[in-house]
Amino acid sequence: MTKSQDQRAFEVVFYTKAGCHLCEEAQDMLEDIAALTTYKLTEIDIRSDPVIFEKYRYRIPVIIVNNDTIVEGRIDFKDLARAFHLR
Amino acid sequence: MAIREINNSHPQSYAIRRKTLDRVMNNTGRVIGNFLIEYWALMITCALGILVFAALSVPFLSYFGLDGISKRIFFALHLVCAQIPSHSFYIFGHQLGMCERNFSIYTAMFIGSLIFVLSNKRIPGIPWWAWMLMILPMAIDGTTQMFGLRESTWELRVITGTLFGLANVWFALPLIQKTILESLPAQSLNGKAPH
Repeated sequence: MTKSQDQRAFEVVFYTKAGCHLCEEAQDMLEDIAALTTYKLTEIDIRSDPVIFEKYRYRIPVIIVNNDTIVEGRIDFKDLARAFHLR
Repeated sequence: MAIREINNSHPQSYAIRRKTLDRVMNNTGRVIGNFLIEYWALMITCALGILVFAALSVPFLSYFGLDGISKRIFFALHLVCAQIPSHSFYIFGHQLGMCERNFSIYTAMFIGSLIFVLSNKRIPGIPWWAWMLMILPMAIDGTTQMFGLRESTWELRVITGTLFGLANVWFALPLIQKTILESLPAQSLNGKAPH
């Protein structure tokens, strides 16, 4: 897959919650990634849905790239970059 | 003549200054040494207490809207803990500053050292084999989880972490105190017999 195809394909779902420090850090990393590539971001506050809340309350931040790669918890920038095929 | 006088007096004044400096250095060293001998355990207890209090304060600060301070403390505690969300306790829906295992370790160490200080540093230590026995459960639990052989539970993390923390202070602190007392001259003991 070429870089331009990657850029078109990146669909990112970001599960987060207000007051989550690791989520703020993950948000900063996503902004850094945005400087390197383009993606479509869907940000979901886990408190908006009880089912999602139960699923992710002890895992956030959770970033799902292209519905297949999951990066979560204390996220390392290298792992996130790899999910975007940047490293 | 005047020059000869100055030349003669210089070594004397230098010697006086040197003696004064030596005396000041010795006294300062003695004061610091005595302070450390007397309060070393209390200093360790305070440091551990600050760590535990800091970890506990994170969710409370977030709950009360003090996110700026909470965030700083949270990221400072990353120096001593991986802070994995799925391995952490939550208060008011906010993650503690340390994971379950580390929080148990530091809390146990804090309580253990506090008891040691309150006993006037008189609690006898455990032998090395008891220390090994007490840290073994955490070594097994942590290692098998780390290599993906199994997943631990919060109960196991708390129990094994508590055993590990208690073992460390129960082994090390009395040993340090014993070593200090044995290395002091007899007149410095002020009537305290070594344990």
